[in-house]
Order: sequence, then C-alpha cells, then structure tokens
Amino acid sequence: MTFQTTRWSLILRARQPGERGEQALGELLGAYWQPVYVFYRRLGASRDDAADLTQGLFTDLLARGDLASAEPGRGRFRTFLRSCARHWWSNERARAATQKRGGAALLLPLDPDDAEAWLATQPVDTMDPEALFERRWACTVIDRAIWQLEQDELAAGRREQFAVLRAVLDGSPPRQPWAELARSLDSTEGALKVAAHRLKARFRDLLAAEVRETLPDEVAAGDELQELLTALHKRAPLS
Amino acid sequence: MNSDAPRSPDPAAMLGQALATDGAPPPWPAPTIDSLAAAFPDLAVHALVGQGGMAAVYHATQVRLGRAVALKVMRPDLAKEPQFAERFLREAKALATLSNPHVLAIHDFGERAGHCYLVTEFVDGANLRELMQLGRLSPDEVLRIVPQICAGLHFAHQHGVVHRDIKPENVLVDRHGQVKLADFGLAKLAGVPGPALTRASAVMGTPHYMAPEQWYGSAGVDHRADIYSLGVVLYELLTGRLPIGTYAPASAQPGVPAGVDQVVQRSLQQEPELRYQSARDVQDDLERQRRDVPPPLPESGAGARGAAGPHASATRLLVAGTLVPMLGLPLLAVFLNAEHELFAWRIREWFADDANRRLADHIVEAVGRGEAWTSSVPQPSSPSAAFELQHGLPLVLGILGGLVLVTVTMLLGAAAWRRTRHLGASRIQQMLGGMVFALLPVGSACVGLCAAADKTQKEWLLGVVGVVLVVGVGAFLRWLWQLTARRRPGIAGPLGRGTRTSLWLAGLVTLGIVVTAVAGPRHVTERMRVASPIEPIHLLGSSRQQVLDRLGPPLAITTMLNGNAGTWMVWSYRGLDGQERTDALQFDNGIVSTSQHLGTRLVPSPRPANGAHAGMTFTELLAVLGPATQTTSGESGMGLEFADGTTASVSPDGIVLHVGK
Repeated sequence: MTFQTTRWSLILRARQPGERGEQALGELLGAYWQPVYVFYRRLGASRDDAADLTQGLFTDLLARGDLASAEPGRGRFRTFLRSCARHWWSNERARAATQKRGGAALLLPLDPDDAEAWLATQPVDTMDPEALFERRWACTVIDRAIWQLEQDELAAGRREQFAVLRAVLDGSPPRQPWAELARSLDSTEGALKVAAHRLKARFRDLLAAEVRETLPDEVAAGDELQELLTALHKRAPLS
Repeated sequence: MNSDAPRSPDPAAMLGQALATDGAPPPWPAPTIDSLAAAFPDLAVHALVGQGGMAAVYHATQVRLGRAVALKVMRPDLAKEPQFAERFLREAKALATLSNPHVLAIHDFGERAGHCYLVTEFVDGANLRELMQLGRLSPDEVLRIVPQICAGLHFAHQHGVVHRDIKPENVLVDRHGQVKLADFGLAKLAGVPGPALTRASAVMGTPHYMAPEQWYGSAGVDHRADIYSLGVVLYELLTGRLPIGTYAPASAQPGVPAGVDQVVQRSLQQEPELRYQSARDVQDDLERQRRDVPPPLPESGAGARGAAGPHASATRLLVAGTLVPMLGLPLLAVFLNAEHELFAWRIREWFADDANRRLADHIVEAVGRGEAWTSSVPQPSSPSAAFELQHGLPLVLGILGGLVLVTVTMLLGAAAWRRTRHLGASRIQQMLGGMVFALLPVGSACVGLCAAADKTQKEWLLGVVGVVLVVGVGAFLRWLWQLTARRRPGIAGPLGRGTRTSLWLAGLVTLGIVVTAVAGPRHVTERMRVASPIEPIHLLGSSRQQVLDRLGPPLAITTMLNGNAGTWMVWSYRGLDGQERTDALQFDNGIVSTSQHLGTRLVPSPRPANGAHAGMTFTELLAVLGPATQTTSGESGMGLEFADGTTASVSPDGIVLHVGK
C-alpha cells in the first residue's frame, strides 16, 4: 500500500472542471450520499424532498470546478460536505419559497430505502442533524470497509469463513466456541483464529484506506477514525 | 453501491476495535519504506507489519521471483555496536542452514546501507500473542500447537542453534494452523555484554520467559533454557497466565489433562539438569497427553454438566473428605450410646433385686459420668427381643457406620494419592498429599472416638468441636491457599507449590489432633494411667484369698447376694499407687468370674468422722463404713443400715444426704 494521491486531495488540487477531480468527486459523492440524505431528513424534509435536495446539491457541486477553495470547511471531505449541505439547505429553501421544485437530472441512483431503514434505528429527536450526519458518515465508512472486505474474502474463496468471522470484527467473542466453529468449517481452531486475526488486520487497513480517500494528505487516517468513533459515541440532545 | 453491504450490529465497537490495536509507541524509529526501497532494489517493500525491540519487519515481494517475503531490518543503533555486523553475519549464516517446516526459513541476509537485514519467508498468519488476544486457545488446540514448537526447537537444537527468546510473539501460525518459529538466536545478538545488553533487554521486556540461568549471564545457557521458556509458553497458552510464584496447576482449567501439569513442572525446573533434556521429550509427553484429551463434548446441554474437570474432582474430594467424618461421627455416637445402654441393662440384670437396684443405677450412672471405668463387660443372660430391637439395631447400624466411615476414608486417601500424582507431584509430595487427605478424616475420627469413649457430655462436645474445627479449618486453609497461590507474585522458590501446601496442611492437621486430644479427654487418660497398676481383669479366676493377696486388705467390702448370678462384692482397697479404688467382683463358687473397676478417688481424703459424710458418693460411704447390713429403697432415695447401728440416706443420684446413729 504505497502512498498515492487520495481522491480528496485530487479534488482539492483540481483547478478546472473536467479534470480528473470531477470523476473523483462523483465517486465520493456516490459513496457518501446517505449522510447528506439523513441530514435533510432530520432537518424536516420529506423523503422525496430529501432525495431531491441531495441530488440538487450534488449536481451543483459537480457543475462547479474550483469548488474546494470556494467553500468553507476546506480540509476534510466530511466537514466540507457537511457545511455544503447546510448551505444548500438555506439556499434551496429560499429558492423553493419563490419557485417550484425543479426536476434536477438524476445523476446518482439514490435508493432512500436503505437510508430510511437506518434512520428508523436511530434515536428520535435526541440528535441534531449535524451529529446524525457524522454518525451516518461513520457507519458508511464502516459499511464500505466491510463491503470491500467481503469482496476480497469472496474472491479468495472464503465465503463460509467470512460469514462466521464477520461477527467477531467488533471484538465480541463468538457465540459458539472457536473449536466448534473450526470444526464446522473443517478447519482447526488455530487456523481459524489466524484467519480472524488477519481479517481484523485487513479490516483495519481497509478502514484506514477508506477514510484516507476523504482526507487531505496532511491528515492521518487514525485521527479521522478517532473522530468518527467519537461521533458514534456521541448522544447529544437536540438543543 | 455499498448500500447493500450488511451491517454489523455495533459499528462503534467495530471501529473501537480497529483503533484499540494501536499499542504503545514504537521503541525506536523504524526505517521508512522509501529509505528501504533505495537500499533494496530487488525488493518491493509494501508495508511495515511489525516492530519489536530489536528489529522491524516489513512485508515485501522479491521482484524477480514474485515471491512474498518478510524483510527484517535490525535496529540501526544496534548495528553500530562494534563487531555487531560481524556477529550478525556469522549467526545468520548458521540460521540460514536451518530448513524445517517449523522454523521460519531465511532466504537471504546481509548488511546494506548500514542495515543488517534478514529476508525470510512471509507467513500470512498471526503470532501466538495475537491469537491469545482473540480468547484463550482450547487445550486441544494448545496440545496441537506446542508439539510443533517442540519439533522446530528440537531440530534447531540438533543443529547447535539455541533460540534464547521463545515467547508467544516469536511463534507464528499460518492460515493452515502450521506453526513456525521465528527469530532464532537473535536474542544472542542483543545479548552482547556492555551497554547493548541492558538496553536491549530493557526494550525487549520479556524476562518472564527467560530461564533462571539466562538471568545470570549467557555463559552457561544452552538448549535447556529454551525448554524452560517453552514451559512458560505452554502454561500461558493453557491458562492465560504466567507461571509466576506459586501458580495454580494448568489442569485446574477445564479440559486440560492432569498429566500436562507434570510436563509444565518438569520444563520449569530451576536447575537445567532437572528439566527435560530434549524438546523431543516434551513433544512426546505432550502428544501422549493429547491422546488422553477427552473427545469434545456434544453440543447438547447434557454434556455441559458432565464437563467436570480435574479441578472439580479435587473439589468433590475435599467436600467428601469433610462431610464423611462429620456425617460418620453421629453414627459412631449412636453406636457408643447403644453400647452403653446394653451395659446398663446388663448391670441392672445382675442387681435384679430391689435392694441392689439402686447400686446398679449408681454404677451405671457412675460409668455414664465417667467416674467409673469398665474394663470388661459381663455377658448378659438373655436380653429380651424387644430390648435387642431397641438397642441392638443402633448398635449394628453404628458398627456398620463406623466400617463405612473407615472404608470411605481409606478410599478418599487413595483418591487423594492419585490426585496428587496427576498434579505432577514427586513421590514424597504424593505421600504427603495422600496423608493430608487421609489424616484429615481419620485423625478427626480418632479424636472423636477418643473423646466419645469417655462418654461424658463435655468431652463428647469437645471431641466433635475438635473434629469440625480440624476438618473445617483444614479445608478452608487449603482453599485459601489455592486461591491466593494464583495471585502471589515473585519467582518460584526451591519448594514446589504441592510440597509447601502439603507440609502446611500436614502440620496443621497434626496440631489440631494433638490439641484436641490433649485438651479434650485429658483427664480420661490420666485416670486410665492411675488405674493401670492392677486391671480388674487380672483378678478373673482368683479365689477370695488371692484377691486379698493382690489388692491388699480391703478398706470396705459390700457383699451382695444375687439369686442366679452368684455373689457380688463391691471391694474398696488402696492400690499400689496409694489411690483408693473400688472394684465390683462377682464370685461364682468362690472364684472371681467377673470384675468391674468402679472408680478411683484421685486424692485420698482423710477418713471423715461420723456425721460428716454428707456429700460423699454412695461408694465412698461404703468404703468408709463397711458393708451395709440392710438396704431399703424408695422414690426419694435409699436408706442404709450398718452393723454399728449407723443409718444413712442416699439421694436417687447416689449422693449421701445424711448419716446418723
């Protein structure tokens, strides 16, 4: 895993539209639309409005070239997108008061069902939209790392093993004794524990790689992960 | 997109886990990948995968072969020590010849751009420390892994290479469960005398795995130091703890075969001569134990309760050893009580007529109070069936109970013997352990019996309390000892844990028995001693004249005639030791057929004047005034008339109330 320019630093460096930064931004926005969506939902937007607001924001961001320097919150992609979303909310609401909702071109295949399902599991009215945005962001990072981990394991032909071991990624002991799990996989306890250890190490690497894509070069992945962990633990009451 | 990826229950825990693995900051700055890329153009270095006190390990690929390797770069300031590079190259050359499935293969070594390095095979796995962090390995798995370590070690030892730093971090396990030993002999490099030693060992910080001789310098260190470290690793894998101080046996963990304790103990001997002399022997013994491991329990709940390990069996043994004597003693009490009842019945049978019934009662009571001592029990003529049922049954039960008590005690002792053997104790320790377990109930039973034989309530109580105390305190201390043994820090002393526990307990039990025996029935033994010069049983078969010769002139004789039981004489005399004593003798045709020792006055009292007899016992009155010529008895006691016209009244419990003319 040698050092390479992350997507976010690519975007930050892009000065004109149409450079590689645009594609990178498209990818990042595609990956992190859910935090924005739940942010609008918690602000009071309906399901459709939230989807439209998200689409509109993304369209606007992609249409602009030199976006990083123009926006506040320059630094991490997460803080950047959060403040953009907040601004967009004020602007868009002002605009909506005067004009009808316009049909923005559907850029991203957003499927609100997933985001709605996640929202349903969150505490109601105990978290402000920003905190919810952060929380969903952390979960998205984890989801993407797990998804990548799963792809890797499936490619390595370890489908059954992954099905068993993903449960221990959070450090909890397995429901069955290791020896029994190993027997069910026709393996040995030692080999299975080695696999679990490697899986955790790989998960850690993937998490770091995932957040690194959203960071400027000078910020360490560990710091960002630590902030995400804080966000997950935070239960700030709505003020 | 990613949205269809299933979510795990607790994202915070997962993220926390990923972050928590960042340990202490590295003890020295590892070379950057860029700087290594310049020094190793033939390697594509991917990432730093580990860093210890002596070296940093990188995951790399040999470009030409496309082979994954581990690049181990020694700490740069170590390499600056004089002659380090030379020594390193010499050692590495020896290591590179080792080719064994359980020893990490060295592909290349050398010195480049100030870096002393090794290129070894890359193990896509984890070390034992990392595996332990996922939870303790099952005993079965430990017994599968450790023999592989032994195999690798034995191979290296055969080639004259000592590892010197066996610890969980240096034992790698790959994805197939195959074990490989890493870092052979590298500790020796760090162990060069001078500043490097102190710094390196301070950094390494793994003294718990070092053999005692390694503490005192490396001169006498040979392959047996590895065997000591191996023992530490074995114990830690099984229990999750280090064998420090007086450590609990590994077999106290469920599923660990008892024989493993012996392997641990022998590996951890302080003297290299007392340890296993070869890693192959350890391997053989462990594989033998592995065959003894019970098959894994079925998943049904029924099996779970049956998973009683050796620890549980030791506990059961202890509980049984405590309960059996406590339950057995009441049975013995019943037995002894029944015997006393039978005795009382016999005495009353002989003194069948009204005149002597009071005397019989008095004798029975005297015996019951411990003021008289029976040395022979006359045969009863024929007890009634109802009496047999009433007193014979408890008697039989009591005898059976006593037998069961003794048998179970013996069995417990034997089990304790076996148990200590399984704990890996030496023969002497086994004997001590067996004795402790056997002594506990047997000794308690003896104390109880000793006290019970006297049949006074006070002594009964003392005996029982003594037994409960000895057993209870013994069990409690043993439990306490085992509990604290696990937490006691410090290096193990020359005496093993088993020996010390056994000695403590043996001493304690002996003390308990002695104290109870001395404090409880002390005056019983005293009386027995005083009474010993002439045992009444010796009088059996004597004529009246012979009795006179033996006992000396009587101080008092009470003669009673009994229809079918011949003549009874209650004979008071002064014994050879100067004490006054009273015997009851039965004469059949002028020959003593039965003799009873009724009591002894410990302090000879001056003969009191007439009228001052009140308060004496009935027997003493007879001794003073001679035989009574007439006896009357009633509800309020007994009236006596003597030849000189003296009359006396005696209370129902045998105390003289009044004497007068």
